[in-house]
Amino acid sequence: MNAENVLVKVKDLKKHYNDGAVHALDGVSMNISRGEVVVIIGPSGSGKSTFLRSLNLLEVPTDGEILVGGVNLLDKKANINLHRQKMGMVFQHFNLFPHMTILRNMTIAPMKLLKKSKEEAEKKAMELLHMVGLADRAEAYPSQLSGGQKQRVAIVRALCMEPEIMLFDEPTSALDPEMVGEVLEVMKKLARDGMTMVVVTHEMGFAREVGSRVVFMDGGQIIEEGTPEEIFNHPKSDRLQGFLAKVL
Amino acid sequence: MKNKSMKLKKLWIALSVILVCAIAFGVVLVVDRLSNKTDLTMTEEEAAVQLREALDALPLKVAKGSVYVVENTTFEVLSVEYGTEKDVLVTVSYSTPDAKGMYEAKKESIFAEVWQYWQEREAAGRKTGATNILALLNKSITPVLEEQPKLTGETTVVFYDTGAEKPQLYLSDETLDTLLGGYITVRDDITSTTKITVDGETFDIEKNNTIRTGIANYFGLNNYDAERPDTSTPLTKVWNSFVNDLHKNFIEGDRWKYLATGLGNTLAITGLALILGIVLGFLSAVVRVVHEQTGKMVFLDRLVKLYVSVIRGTPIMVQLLIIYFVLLLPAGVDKFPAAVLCFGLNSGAYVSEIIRGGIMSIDQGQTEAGRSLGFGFGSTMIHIILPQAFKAVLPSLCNEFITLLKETSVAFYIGVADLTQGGLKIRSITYSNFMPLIAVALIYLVLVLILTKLVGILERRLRKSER
Repeated sequence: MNAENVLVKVKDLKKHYNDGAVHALDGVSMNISRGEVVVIIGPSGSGKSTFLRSLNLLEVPTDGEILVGGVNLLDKKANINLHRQKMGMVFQHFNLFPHMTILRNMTIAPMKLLKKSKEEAEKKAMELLHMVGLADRAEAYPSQLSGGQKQRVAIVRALCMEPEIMLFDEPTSALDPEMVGEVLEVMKKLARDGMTMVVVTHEMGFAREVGSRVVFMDGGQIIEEGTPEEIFNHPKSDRLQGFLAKVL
Repeated sequence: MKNKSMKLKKLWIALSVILVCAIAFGVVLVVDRLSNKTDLTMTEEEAAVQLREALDALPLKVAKGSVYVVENTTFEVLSVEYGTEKDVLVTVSYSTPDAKGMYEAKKESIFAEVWQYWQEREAAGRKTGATNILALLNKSITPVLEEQPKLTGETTVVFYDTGAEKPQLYLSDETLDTLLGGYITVRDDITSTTKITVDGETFDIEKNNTIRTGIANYFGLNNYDAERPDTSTPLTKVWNSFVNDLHKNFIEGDRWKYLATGLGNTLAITGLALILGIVLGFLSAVVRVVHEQTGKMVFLDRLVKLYVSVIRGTPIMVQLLIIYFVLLLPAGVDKFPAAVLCFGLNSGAYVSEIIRGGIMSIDQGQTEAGRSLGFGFGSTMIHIILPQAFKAVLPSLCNEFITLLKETSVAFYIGVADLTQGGLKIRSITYSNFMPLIAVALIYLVLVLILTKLVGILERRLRKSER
């Protein structure tokens, strides 16, 4: 792994609540390289979502460094909005804009922020909708879509900004079981196409199949990380063994 | 399509209800009228006797002219009919001395004679009273009157069933005037004469009441004042008094203009206060939300909190009195802008809370989604949060505007001529309570209904986008 390929470098990230009584993140360090699919697993309350949300500063860490292209995001002078444009995010609850059509959901940010023309933005959006099989729903409103469809739209909405990295915060947790597959398919396709991804999920099958690296977190710390083979077949720590025994 | 036919159906139902009500009202009126025929009967002879007695009982005094005319008036009853106001309509043919013709022919010479008589007595230092003039005319005019040809014609005299044994005769001025050859017209002409011409010379007798009264007395019937018995049904009475009230309160003296001007002012105050309130409320809400979410704008946030709690914690009337009498009147500001400012400030506080509530009601995920795409705080607000918040708060905002419209009714306390004051003004002129107050209430009600309807349309249009 050479240093030029490192996209995001996280150093000793800490997040404390209640004047330090609660340590949501307790010194997390991680390098994320271009094209890598990092899957973060762990029990609830382990800090994996907090870590993910810290990467684009939806949660503001208490201490540490997040270096992107040599710039520390926690520096007050860093342009966080510009940084977020390059870092797509997919939420557990989709968070589509209910007052806009699907197409508008996807084009508003490229038009307002990347200053793309309407035609350009819509062309790109339609291409992406074709990719996820929802081209015919372009003029629909989010409330007319199923959960799986909403999440696919949420993914392509983020892709419209042509991000360098995609963050997924438990993207299938709020879905009915039969809809999980369609969303995972889209994510697998993204991974195959070489998108850099950080995924917080409970889908162990996905982690095993797609993850280039699996990270196990607990108590706000990284306990163990490695290839899916290492994590799932040869867990070293007791905590990981215990966790896997429960979920598999 | 379905919606449209439903609307049409509703319209039809409304129209038929109105139609049925109108027909029912008409039927009630007709039945009411028909039930108002008298049960008493009257023969032609009875009618003739009563009419004769009534003529003989007229206040004729010692005016020979009057006595002559009445004594020489004869009539014959032609028919008796029964009307719908407990009245008996008796048609008579009459024959009477042409008093009016005589007066019109001799008016100038009569006045000249009296004028000269009065001048002579003045010159001799003797006082002339109306009685002296009457005596003079009794002597000089009566022979002329006696020579007049008779005037003949037909007219209707009305008797009313007033609850007595027999229908009672009511001789109106008009009927009497016809029966007695224009006698009352003559009297009116005499009393309104202000200039006379004697030998080509014109004299002003406007202030000389003696001459006019003296001549008028010859033609008698002073103090004749018959009142028509009120035999209308209770329903008609109510209806008549309603129409009278309506007329007195709104038509007479163009009093409806008080309401029209008031309405204009009320709308102007409400409209301007609304704009001010929305601007103030919106800015205040944004200040508070920015402070809550970013911790910035500490001073402004405190200021807004103070503003909102002061406005919400005091009655609007007290605010109005303080803003006008304490703050603005000494600064020379007029009432109208003072009212606009007060209601705008007041509304702003409530609007601020409503909008803030609306913004807070939008899921935090929406902000996160906006920010994660790279929108700044402001753009996220403008493109994502506010459009949703606006839709969510529209009903509450509408309520606030309706409240505002009605609250402007206290503006009359500082003397603004608003709708309420228009009603009170009419009330103070006519001493009526019902009409002006109900009218004011109805106008407010209609305004509110219109406003509600408009917001309903807007709401439906906005909601369409989410379905």
